[in-house]
Amino acid sequence: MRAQLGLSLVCLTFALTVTASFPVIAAMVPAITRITVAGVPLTLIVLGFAFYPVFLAVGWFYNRHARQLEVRFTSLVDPVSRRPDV
Amino acid sequence: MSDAAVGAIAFVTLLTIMVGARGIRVARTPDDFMVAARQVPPALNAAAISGEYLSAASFLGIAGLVVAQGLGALWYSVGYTAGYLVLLLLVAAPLRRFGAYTIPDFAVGRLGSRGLRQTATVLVLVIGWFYLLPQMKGAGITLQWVLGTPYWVGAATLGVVVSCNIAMGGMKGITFVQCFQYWLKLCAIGIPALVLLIAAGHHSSPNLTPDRAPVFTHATVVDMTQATSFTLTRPADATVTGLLDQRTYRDQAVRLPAGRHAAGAGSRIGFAAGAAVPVSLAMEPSSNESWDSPFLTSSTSGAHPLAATYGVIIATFFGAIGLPHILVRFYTNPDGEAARRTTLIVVLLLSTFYLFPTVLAVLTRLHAPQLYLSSDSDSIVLALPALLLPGLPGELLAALVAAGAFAAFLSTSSGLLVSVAGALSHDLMKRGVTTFRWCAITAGAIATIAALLIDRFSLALLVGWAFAIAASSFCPLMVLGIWWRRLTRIGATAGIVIGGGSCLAAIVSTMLGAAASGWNAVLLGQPAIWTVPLAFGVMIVVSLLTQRTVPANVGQVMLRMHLPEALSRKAYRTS
Repeated sequence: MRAQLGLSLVCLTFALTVTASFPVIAAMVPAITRITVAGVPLTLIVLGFAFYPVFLAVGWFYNRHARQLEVRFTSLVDPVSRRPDV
Repeated sequence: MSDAAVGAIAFVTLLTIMVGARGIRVARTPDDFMVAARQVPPALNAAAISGEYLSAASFLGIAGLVVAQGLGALWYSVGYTAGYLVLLLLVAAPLRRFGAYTIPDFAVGRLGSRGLRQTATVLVLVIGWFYLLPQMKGAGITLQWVLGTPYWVGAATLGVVVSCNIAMGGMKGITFVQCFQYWLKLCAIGIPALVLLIAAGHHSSPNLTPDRAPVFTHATVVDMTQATSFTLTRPADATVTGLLDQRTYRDQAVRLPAGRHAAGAGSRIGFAAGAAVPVSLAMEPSSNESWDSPFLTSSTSGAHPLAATYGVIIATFFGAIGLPHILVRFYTNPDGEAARRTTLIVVLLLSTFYLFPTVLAVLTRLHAPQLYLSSDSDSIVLALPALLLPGLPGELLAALVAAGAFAAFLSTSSGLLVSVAGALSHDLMKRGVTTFRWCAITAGAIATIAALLIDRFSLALLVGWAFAIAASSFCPLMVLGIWWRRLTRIGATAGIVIGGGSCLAAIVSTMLGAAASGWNAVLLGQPAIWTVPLAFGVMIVVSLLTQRTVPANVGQVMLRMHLPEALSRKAYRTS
């Protein structure tokens, strides 16, 4: 459980840092908001499109590792013998 | 407006009722009614969750808000998606393993207190109703736009259809309906967005050609919320109240010459049917400065955009955890692992969907900026296809959009009504299918009546508020309840009451127009920025002060939430 919580928090911190830092950076360096890539404002690219792959990647990473943690835990406890300790 | 749109809406509604009716034969016991007997595979369940989640705000509200306020409004769509990531990381699997129907059930199972159950039930009702209002509003303006009926007709139609459908079918039917409606909604926004994108690419800026200057299809009243200057391409007949071109009118008929005009703040211009749509100078693509800003201008004033942005980020990121109609869906997963997979698929489905409102908003901005001036921002998506693509293709696309919008209202309000009626019948009254049916009808009626009072708030804002209340009440309850052994029922109750209560108070005071500018407007209009930390803080501090009341079975409950199924199947015969 502690390992699961740690994994969740690491993933959460990463996702939050990536997204929530954008307004602060934009506020401190207003020039960023004036950048355009091939005529499209950077703000539009970031807010409209770029965050979603990040979310998916974090979610996928989390699912994989959460599953591994559970498999490892299950084999550690050895379910055949008796009830696991509380 | 067009027969095609009317037909499309009728089709969606009938189909929803029919698919729902099929479920009646399957749904027999209260258990079936409540969570579809817990046997829904992840892909189907994910589509159902997304179908239920994508509401009027996503379908109409976000695009409209982006056109009206700028790119900062995209934080809503980012947040609505990120909410599911947070849900996946923090609560998905343990919650499924816990195995309760509703948030009040969770509260009682985890902390064992009747008082807490009632508090939580009341909050389910508050959040549910708050979330139902924008759906009703969306139905109102969609039918208003399609049929020209008064606002209340659409709201009432939705209320009747959804209440009756739920009262008859329960949730087994709804799972299929919701799944079907996700794909319908994706098509209904994706196809128009792509077609219009291609069409706009072919003849760039179509509205600059003088013969195609858009006209008002029916008499339209434009309220100038701020001083606006606009240009008329042709003379237009109008009824003016307030300041226009340095003259004050009081409900007088005027023939406005072609050319430039300046309207004062608060003035109201009623254009006759067939009049040319004026072009707002403030909206012309040349003045892009503020529209490009990544910040959200707060609903009532432009002050402190950074704080308003973070208010929305916190509310939407953490609000999804506390939405009662979404959490119920997680109990329909076979196990915790499946719950995780389902949630990840939901993030994927939502990400795909949210690409399209963005596309539509940018298209409107570039090719039809007059829409902002001419209509309520929430109806922009409905009006865009006919404007960019005249003739039959545009009409068909508009019909598709209208049908998708109606699907959005139907699915979200169905899910909400199941939760609200479930909370009423399950937690406050005696249980049973008959009670559930009557609760569904009553709850639908109340929401419909309330919806008639709130038509001046934008959809995205209203939904954002429902998220803010959820984030500052149920989110801390779920997160701390799952991960923190020392949570007590007194602490949980205090956190819910103080967090949710202060958030609700702030929102109601904003709705009543308490603070119009400065910090007060931001802190009351986007309260999540302070009420979420407040709720967490109160819950932790009060719990630490009342450690004697930690439930005796906390170890066992924690074990059940966090133990993988492979082990728990041995430990407990049933979950």
